[in-house]
Amino acid sequence: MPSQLYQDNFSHMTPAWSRIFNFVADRAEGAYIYTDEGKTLLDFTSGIGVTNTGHCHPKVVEAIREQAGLFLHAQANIVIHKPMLQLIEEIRQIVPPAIDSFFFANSGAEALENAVKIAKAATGRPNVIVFNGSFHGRTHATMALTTSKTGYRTGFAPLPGGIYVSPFPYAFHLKMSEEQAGQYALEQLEYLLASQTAPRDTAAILIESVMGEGGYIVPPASFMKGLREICDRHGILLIFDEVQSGFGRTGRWFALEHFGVTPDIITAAKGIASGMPLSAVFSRTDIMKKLDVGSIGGTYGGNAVACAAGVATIRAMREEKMLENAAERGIQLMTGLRKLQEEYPQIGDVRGKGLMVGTEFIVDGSQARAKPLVKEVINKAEQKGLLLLSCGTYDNTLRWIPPLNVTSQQINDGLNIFGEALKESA
Amino acid sequence: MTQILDRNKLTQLLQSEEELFHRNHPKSFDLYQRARKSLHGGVPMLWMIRWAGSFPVFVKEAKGAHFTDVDGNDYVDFCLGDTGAMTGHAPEATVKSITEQIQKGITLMLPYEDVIWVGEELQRRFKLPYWQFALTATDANRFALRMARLITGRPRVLVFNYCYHGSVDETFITLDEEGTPISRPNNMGPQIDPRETSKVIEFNDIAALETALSARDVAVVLAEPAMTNIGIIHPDPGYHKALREITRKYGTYLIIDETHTICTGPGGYTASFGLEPDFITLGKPLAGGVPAAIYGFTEEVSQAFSAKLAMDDADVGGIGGTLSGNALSIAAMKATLQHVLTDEFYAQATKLQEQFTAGVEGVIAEFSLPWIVKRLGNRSEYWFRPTPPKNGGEAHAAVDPELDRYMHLYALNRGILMTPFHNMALISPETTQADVDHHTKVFREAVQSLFG
Repeated sequence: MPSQLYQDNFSHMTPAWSRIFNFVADRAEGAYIYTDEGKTLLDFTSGIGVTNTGHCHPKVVEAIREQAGLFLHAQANIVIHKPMLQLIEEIRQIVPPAIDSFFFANSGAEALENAVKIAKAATGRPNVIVFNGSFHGRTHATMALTTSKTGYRTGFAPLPGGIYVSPFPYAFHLKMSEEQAGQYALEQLEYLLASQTAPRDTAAILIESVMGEGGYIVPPASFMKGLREICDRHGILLIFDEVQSGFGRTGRWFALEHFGVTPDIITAAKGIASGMPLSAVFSRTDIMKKLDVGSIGGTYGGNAVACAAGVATIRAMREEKMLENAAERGIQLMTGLRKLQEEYPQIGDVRGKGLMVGTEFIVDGSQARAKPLVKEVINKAEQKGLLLLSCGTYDNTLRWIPPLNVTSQQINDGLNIFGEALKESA
Repeated sequence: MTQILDRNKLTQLLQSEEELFHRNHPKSFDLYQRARKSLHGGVPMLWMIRWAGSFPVFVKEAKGAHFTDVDGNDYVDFCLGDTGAMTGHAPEATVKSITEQIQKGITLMLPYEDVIWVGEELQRRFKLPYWQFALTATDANRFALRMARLITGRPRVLVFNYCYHGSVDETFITLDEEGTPISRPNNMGPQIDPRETSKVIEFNDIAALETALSARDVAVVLAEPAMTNIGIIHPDPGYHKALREITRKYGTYLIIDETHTICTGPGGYTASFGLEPDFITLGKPLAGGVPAAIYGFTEEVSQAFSAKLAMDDADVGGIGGTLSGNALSIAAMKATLQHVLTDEFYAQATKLQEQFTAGVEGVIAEFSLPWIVKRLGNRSEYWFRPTPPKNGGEAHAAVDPELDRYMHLYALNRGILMTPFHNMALISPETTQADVDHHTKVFREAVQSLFG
């Protein structure tokens, strides 16, 4: 029976908010969410890849409590606060050495807005290239950068111009090997630079290091190296969007480590502060110096409590060896999913890095026709106590985003429930 | 609807059970501290360090289906020395026979007449004509493997993934997640990579068996008739028929190790299900807890062995054991077979085990748990997956050490000893309906604490 609070107020929440599950949550701890009706749910959504240290990690909570008592809103233009300095010190140890200049904001979309502004200002060029299936946010500029679903942009025209779209190396969909898909995508990018946006008009090439909302797709390293080479040849800035793939999600601090490529600009958010609103743009001083002072910023950006949570997040990940765990649990998870794939031909592909894992469903050779099945699996899994999310243009890929400190037993619990949900749905 | 196990809660509950265990076992704790100064790990045998509760319970005395510890706690013993005391502790007939024999000599390396009675009784029970003695089933298996290799001239042994045959070197081989044979994880100091001595396949996989034996380099299949040490795994219908046909087709011997499956009936699984092995091996409860083991074989094996045997060197050929067949263990075996492990015992214990299983099943149904309980004769255990595993690999994938430990410790703290390191229960001749009911009640409480 829904509570009085829910009955009185839920209908006043904007219906424009998409809603995947309908329970009211009381609290969360580690890998679990506890509902107001006493149900326990194993959370493999991590609030869309945010609570990488698990819900309410005690060290993060403690850091938040402590900072909240010292200084809540230490506005970044007015004061220099210690948590931001500490956070910079921590981040400098986990990004490539060339990355040495940091800007903080509140949301992923805001980070992307600023990354594009920085690229434009630093190069003096107007255009940005993105890749098919991209998701970078829901503000006006980031809507224009987003191509994963029309639903994110329909009805909002006109959007900012100067955005060009090139194919992503989506090997499974292209029915190619990863290397072939990478080669194909590089050729298409060269074609775009020759046909639509000339290199001297192109400020940046922007790509998610591992595609998120568009389907959880890992690009091949050769392709990422190819991007670096094209950018170097033409003086184009390379931006890696690590909002979802960063902060340990793929078993490394940032997914870029899998490719051995250093971009010029990195965007980060989600996992950075275990759930406190915080985002960032990481770049180089020589790039950042080209901006006019005051041209980027925001009242709340780099909030002191959020920065304190960020510091505690990085330290907890390091001290508790969460990256190593993510790599191991990711292999366990993908091995389990591949076993299920042998039983259920509807699972077309199992892919990922670390604990950023996707299972793409195909029904009668079609992505679109798999959508209802994925929805049903998610519903059945929820009934059995496991929360999962979908992604992909047709919502036909299940994404697995457990916390990085998930245990081997919890992975097994999740796989068992997924197996049962599949049995009842497929 | 399935209920998800909240592992945060499990961690907290496990901690409070461990605290309770500490509070209720101060003398065991003191003895453990003292033991650590003279015994490696504070225990006489390595595995004992794994007991739930962070130190072992020190026993004061045991009788029948119960024992008491040094702190005065009483327990219903469903572990029964992991089958070694399936006869109940200190069974009267066995004790009487031991006491009499002990006055008349313990070991001479010469036979007493009683050994013939034992050989004849084994013939009657297991339908194999010839028998030899050892002190542990590990040795019985090792000797049978040597005989099989000697006779066939073939080098290799085939075992099943997650099998249990004691500490026989050749059996420490498993399949990894991709199905590739590997030395079993934590195989301690193997003298040779087991992949050189052994082949390993999944139980119930007939095609893999045919492939493995078709190279004709396998001397013998060493098999438990139903797998036990990774939880009970029953053979698929027709599997034993296929196992026998395929081993015969390729000239490979078949050893059936009844050491755990002697829980099935007086003649083990072999007699109950009409198997036709070339060898049978068995140890554990045969002598009521006194070390004793046997291995038996067919007329054909006996003759082929004799033909290969150089009598002059029979004492230095790698099969034997000075104390094997000693008078004490033979006397204990005779009394145990004659008076304890009788047809009546098995009939009654199997019936009571059905009650035990029904109790567990009732709780599983009440809480809609994705768990099962499996039974073989007077042995059962619950396993944390919704359907029975087909093979060792599937069963191993469902092992849940935290949950195992909690269920075990919860029971221990309430006067019930289950078999580690999974939750197995055996019924002895002196286990009562009240003992079984106590388990059902405590099992329900444990489940309630997790899912209630």
